[in-house]
Amino acid sequence: MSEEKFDVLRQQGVREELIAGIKRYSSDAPVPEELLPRIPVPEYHYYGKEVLEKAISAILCGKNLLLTGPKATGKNVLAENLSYLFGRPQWDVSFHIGVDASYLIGTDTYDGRAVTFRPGPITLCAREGGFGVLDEINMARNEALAVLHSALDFRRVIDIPGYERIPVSPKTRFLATMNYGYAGTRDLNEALTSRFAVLEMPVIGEDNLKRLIMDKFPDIKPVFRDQFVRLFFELNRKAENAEISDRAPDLRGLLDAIQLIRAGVTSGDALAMCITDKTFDAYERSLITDVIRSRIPTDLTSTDVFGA
Amino acid sequence: MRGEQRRALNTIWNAAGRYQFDPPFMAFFPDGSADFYFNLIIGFVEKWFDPERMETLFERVGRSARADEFDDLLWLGLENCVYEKEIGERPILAQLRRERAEKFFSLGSTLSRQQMMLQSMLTQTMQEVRWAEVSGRRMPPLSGRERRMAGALRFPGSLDTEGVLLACQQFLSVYFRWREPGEKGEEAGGQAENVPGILRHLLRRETRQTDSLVIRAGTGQCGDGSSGALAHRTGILHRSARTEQDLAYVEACFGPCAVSEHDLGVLESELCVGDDKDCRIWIVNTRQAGSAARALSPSRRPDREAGGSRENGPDSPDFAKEGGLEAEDGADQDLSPQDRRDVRRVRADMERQKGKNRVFYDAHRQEIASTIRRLSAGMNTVLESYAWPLPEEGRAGQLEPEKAYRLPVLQDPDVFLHPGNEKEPDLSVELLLDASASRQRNAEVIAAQGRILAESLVRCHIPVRVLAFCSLRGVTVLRILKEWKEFSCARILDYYAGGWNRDGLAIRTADALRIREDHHARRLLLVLTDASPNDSAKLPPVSGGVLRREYEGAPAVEAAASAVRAAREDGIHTAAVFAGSTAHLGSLSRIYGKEYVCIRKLDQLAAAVLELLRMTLQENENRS
Repeated sequence: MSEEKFDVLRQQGVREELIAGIKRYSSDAPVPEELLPRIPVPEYHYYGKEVLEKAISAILCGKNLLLTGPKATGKNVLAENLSYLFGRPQWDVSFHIGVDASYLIGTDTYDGRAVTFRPGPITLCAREGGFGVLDEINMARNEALAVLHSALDFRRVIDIPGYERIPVSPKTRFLATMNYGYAGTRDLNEALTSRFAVLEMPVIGEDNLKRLIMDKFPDIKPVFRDQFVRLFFELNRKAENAEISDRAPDLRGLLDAIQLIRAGVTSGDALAMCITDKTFDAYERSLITDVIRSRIPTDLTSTDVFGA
Repeated sequence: MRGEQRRALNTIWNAAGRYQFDPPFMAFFPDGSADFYFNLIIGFVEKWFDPERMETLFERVGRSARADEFDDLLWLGLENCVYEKEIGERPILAQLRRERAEKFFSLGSTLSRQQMMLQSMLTQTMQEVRWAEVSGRRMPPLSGRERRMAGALRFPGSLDTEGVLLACQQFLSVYFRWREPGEKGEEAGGQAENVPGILRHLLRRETRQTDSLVIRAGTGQCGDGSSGALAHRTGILHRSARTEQDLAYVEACFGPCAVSEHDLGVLESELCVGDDKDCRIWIVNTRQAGSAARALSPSRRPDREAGGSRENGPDSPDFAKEGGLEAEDGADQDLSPQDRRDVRRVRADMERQKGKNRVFYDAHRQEIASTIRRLSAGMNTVLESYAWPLPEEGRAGQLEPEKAYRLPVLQDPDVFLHPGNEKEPDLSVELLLDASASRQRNAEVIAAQGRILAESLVRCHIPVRVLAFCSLRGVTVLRILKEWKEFSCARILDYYAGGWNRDGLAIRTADALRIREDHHARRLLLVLTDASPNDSAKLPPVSGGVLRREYEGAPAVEAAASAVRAAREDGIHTAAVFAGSTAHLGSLSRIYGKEYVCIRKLDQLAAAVLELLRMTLQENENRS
């Protein structure tokens, strides 16, 4: 097993016994060859020692995790990082209003000769000892989620009427994400919430965002790195105060913009493409432009920003 | 330029790093556009110094006869100070400062002769010095005093609040002999003329309107001398509401009834019973009422028809202008001279209110557009969350036993059901706006709220109707401001508040109309209210009693609550958006149970209504 992947944990001061726990967890049940491509290699590392320690501890204790928090708190990044660190194949299930039991567990289908059961992502994840990322779990109806109850609690089993009873592998964990601040989303019902350990995700801190940018763009000049970081927080604050929608404080968009600048697009164009123009309202765009204008010149090129 | 004000505010807030304050200054160019650099400076001053102490200083300076000039000069000093403080943290500031300097010189070349003459020469010179330094231009020729003054206005970045206050006071004291107002020797000298400086255009104090809903605890009375007098007058003991004069008066005020005489009779015999037995109902469609050459109302009596059709109805602008009622033949025969004067006044007030509603709407256009965007986006999400997808047949999914035979017999594999394309939410919404005199002071805000709600719903393809209700002389009037199939919501700004409000009868009438014509699976009635029902037409005596009771307080609240219960039993989910005195919160919960939201400001509307919609749909789902 590669030790390198734990470097990012050690750099942040994550306790060694937790790292040792991850190693034991992975070595107990090797992943079959055909599932190795399902083990994600994260594009971004998650930075946040406390959150990482809590999440790792919960998984080692056999808990499923519910990651809650507003946009840009890295819920999915953390989930992906955990699958990577624990070396488990990952199944992603995006929840939406149309999700029902058959979508999660499996459906009947006709294979040309007979009606057979086609397993869904939860069933596969449960069988193979994977990590199931249940993205935006609160977008689905609580009734649809009831089928997960027995898989998530002490019974650790999926029982499908008319089909076999599928035990959930001891290595399987479910990592649900939920953005409760999002207008219109539902609250999870008590029965489901009680089956998760809930981890409230903080908005990424300034130092961690700097690290994240340095990870991805190690040659960025510190002066511009700092301006991009502050720009992100200023947009975030503006969205928190409902002056703009929450489309603009988009961490992915910011990182994409920096990437475009490196590729030769000027800073003004890159930020317009990746941040400003994601808002389709002209007035809101003008407010976002003003924030950018107070931080980043529009005519920066790759050589201005990179080359540290 | 309202949008530019908001933009300036945003720049200040962003620079200050906080949003919950109302800056005493904002900066604009003469063309009304926001001065980006100086708004940043205003924000930085807020960020670096104690805002309260700075504000106190400017308040004191503001009492001076030369306040504008002093403001301009002090802000130049502050500009230098916060620039030096901020430049390390925000390197782009140097570039923005240079651009601002260039803008100053380009503005100077475009000022008219009159504008030049209005400038304070001293302020102009000090600015010229500052911006010439920044842009590397040649300095203007300066006297020794001016040179010293320019130097003194370079407040260093090392100053803290105490230091900067001292610097400001010393500057004014040394160069203008400024003292606290009332002290001897105040502003005895100074070379500058007491004329507004150029920065007055660039940097001006703003008094902005507030959206807060300050609702007096009135109950149908109005003391501002406008058509609230109508409410006073009708407040006199009302002997019998069933008088033709009263109906003629109502018709003259609001327009003809949109419902046929027969239908109105059926409606009244169904609804005007029990506590409302002395009342009548009048339903007006403002579109019909507003058309210039309208036909007579179907409910008009033949003897009126003999009077001939009107060229100008009571809703037409010409009606009031031409003396309205006097221009009609026969239509005013039922009205006393006092009523005729009243009606003219009401008509004029209505026109005035329409104008005020539109002015308010235009002034808050950006904020309203933003609320509509947020609300419709949120509504879409909420509605999406509560719309079941229709099942579709396919090759996978849940087996349909009754069709299973088709598989072996017909080799038809489509015997499974799976969730298909989503169904449109089967929902309709009716907005009922309380339009009694107690809402008069907030009429513009209520009209804007109604329009925001209606437009957001229209954007989500939800059928919506908007009614405004009030009551006078025992007649409960429902004005249709937007019909179900009407796309435009512009007529909602015709909202006018006056008279009393018999909430119970209004809700029951809306309910009765709704069950006749609206067959959506989910029907929502949203009442924009201050939860203070009050009417001049009294309630009948309680059993065994002889005295009629006032329609106010607990009995009126109970009548409204009973109407809400009845509407809910009819499958119309009824909820309230409350903006009013907290004294009525008890009545609110008695009438609507838990299904209400309270708002104080326009910008709270979106979140409140979304929560209400979510709650309503959840409740509806639980019940089904």
